[in-house]
Amino acid sequence: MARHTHIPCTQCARHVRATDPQCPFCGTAITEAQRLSVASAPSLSHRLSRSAMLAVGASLTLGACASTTSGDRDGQVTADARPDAMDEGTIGALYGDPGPAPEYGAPPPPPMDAGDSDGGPAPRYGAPPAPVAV
Amino acid sequence: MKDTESPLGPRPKLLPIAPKAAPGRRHLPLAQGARPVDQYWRPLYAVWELTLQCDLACRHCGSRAGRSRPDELDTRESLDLVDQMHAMGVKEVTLIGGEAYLRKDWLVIAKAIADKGMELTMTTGGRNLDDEKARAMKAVGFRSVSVSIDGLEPMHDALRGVKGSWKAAFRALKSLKAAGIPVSVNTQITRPGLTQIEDTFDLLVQAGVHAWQVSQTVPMGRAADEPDLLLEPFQVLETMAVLYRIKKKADAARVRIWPGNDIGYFGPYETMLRGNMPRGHMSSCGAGRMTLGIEANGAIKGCPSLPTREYTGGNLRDETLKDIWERSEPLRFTRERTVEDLWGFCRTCYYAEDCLAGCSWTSHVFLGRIGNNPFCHHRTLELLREGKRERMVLKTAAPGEPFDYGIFEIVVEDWPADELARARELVATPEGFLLHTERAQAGIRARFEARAQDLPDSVDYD
Repeated sequence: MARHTHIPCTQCARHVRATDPQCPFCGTAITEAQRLSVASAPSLSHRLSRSAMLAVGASLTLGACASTTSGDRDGQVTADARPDAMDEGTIGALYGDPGPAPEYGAPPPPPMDAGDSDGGPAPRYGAPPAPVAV
Repeated sequence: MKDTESPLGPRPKLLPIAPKAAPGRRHLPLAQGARPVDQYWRPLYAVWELTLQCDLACRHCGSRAGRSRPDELDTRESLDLVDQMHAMGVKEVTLIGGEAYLRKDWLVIAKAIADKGMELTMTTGGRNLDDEKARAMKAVGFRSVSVSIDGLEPMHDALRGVKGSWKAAFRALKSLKAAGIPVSVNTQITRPGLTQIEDTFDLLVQAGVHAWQVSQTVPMGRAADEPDLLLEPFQVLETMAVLYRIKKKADAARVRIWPGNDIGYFGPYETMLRGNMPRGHMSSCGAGRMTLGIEANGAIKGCPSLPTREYTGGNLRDETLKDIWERSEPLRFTRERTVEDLWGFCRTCYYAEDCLAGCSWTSHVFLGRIGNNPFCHHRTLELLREGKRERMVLKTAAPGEPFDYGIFEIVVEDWPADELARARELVATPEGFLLHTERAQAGIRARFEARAQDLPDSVDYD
């Protein structure tokens, strides 16, 4: 199994695999700059509370819009690692960070020091929230 | 009844409103040992049904709540569970019911959770949550409380089955805020309630909520008895358009939209709705990976919403939480899933490897198995390109137990010509509703207002 890194298309906002040359929905080309702007799938947030995870997500979103981070950008993580070789990073990258929102649950509480930088409403693409200290 | 009059008529009498739950299943088998992947995933978020007792009679209640379970955990067992959750690394616990505050020792248990440093939250109908309870909740450390509100007053009261429920819910929000507890709201979208969600949201903003969790009603428990409450898959187009419009208001009001796992997926609004998640989009079902569901009798599931029969991994009276989490098959099912486990449209979907058919609960309670989820924005858009849409047709009714479900079948059909044009317009703009929905509204609203007059002031299940 492979999991993909996805990039929102700048034209139609649909998520596109970072490995695809163009958006399969509207045909817009995916640029190298877009590929480079995508942060790697995070692997540590599964140890955070949901409210902290949102803060991480908000900061990653901000970073993704302004980042020049480098690293492996092939957009895929292969899943043929043996279980005994798995570490947190491997499994986290394989299975992602679902950010639980079970229907019988509740929204996470606001951060204790919630102000204007609470990571608040989910940003639309290109309009990230204010940075959040994590 | 005309098709355009999608109604909420008299409550069906075929099944008991609040059946006496059967005792929890015991001594379920566990695997010999835990694998690395079982030890990797930890329950970060627990949702705990403290009791099945309830002071409402909701027509869409998945657990058919009302009476206590015959074998609910006692105080000592509950406090032991708190210790076990803390040891497992649980970060946040949401108390639910039934109605959690109807349990005599609920504040003792709540305080123990907060004292362990876990974030303590609650979802409530708020029927009897007054100033005194709110102050006591503040004292024991509740960090946020979410009140369930499903529409405007007549609709909400009709859905909740008790007159005055809507006013009580808003009173509860006021009491909680006065006590200094941040408030949020959970809303279920029903077919008759869809067009009221935006007006309802405006009232929630005025009430000062910090977040709004939105889900759709699916056919579990009492909702399985009333297919007219359920959205059709093609109505995802409307739902997502409504959420798009609400999101703009929510951003302005700094209210966080928190879509339930059954809302989505991967349409043009995915970044807008989930852009602040770590991957910037949804990431399949979290049951048994980060989420833990606990029933009042100690039954453990990977998600509180999942059907009891198939997804109970074990009982706390037989095994430790850690052993059930790591070694029970029903909690492992999301940990090594692949596309090979999917079927139908989802099997060959562009997003299959990342989405894995989205919410397991939705798939299972409609179709009797996971791996194919027609309530998907991407799927609905792909079908629309071909002029097709999907409907669900009830084939087998639910048996009438807590967390039970019926079986539906997917019907793929052509969009009616006038609706096809409207659906495409709705995707492009995204304003308004489908023609069918617009036509049905006057009748629905009148029917709800009439029904609200006949509701009881309270319920007494004994």
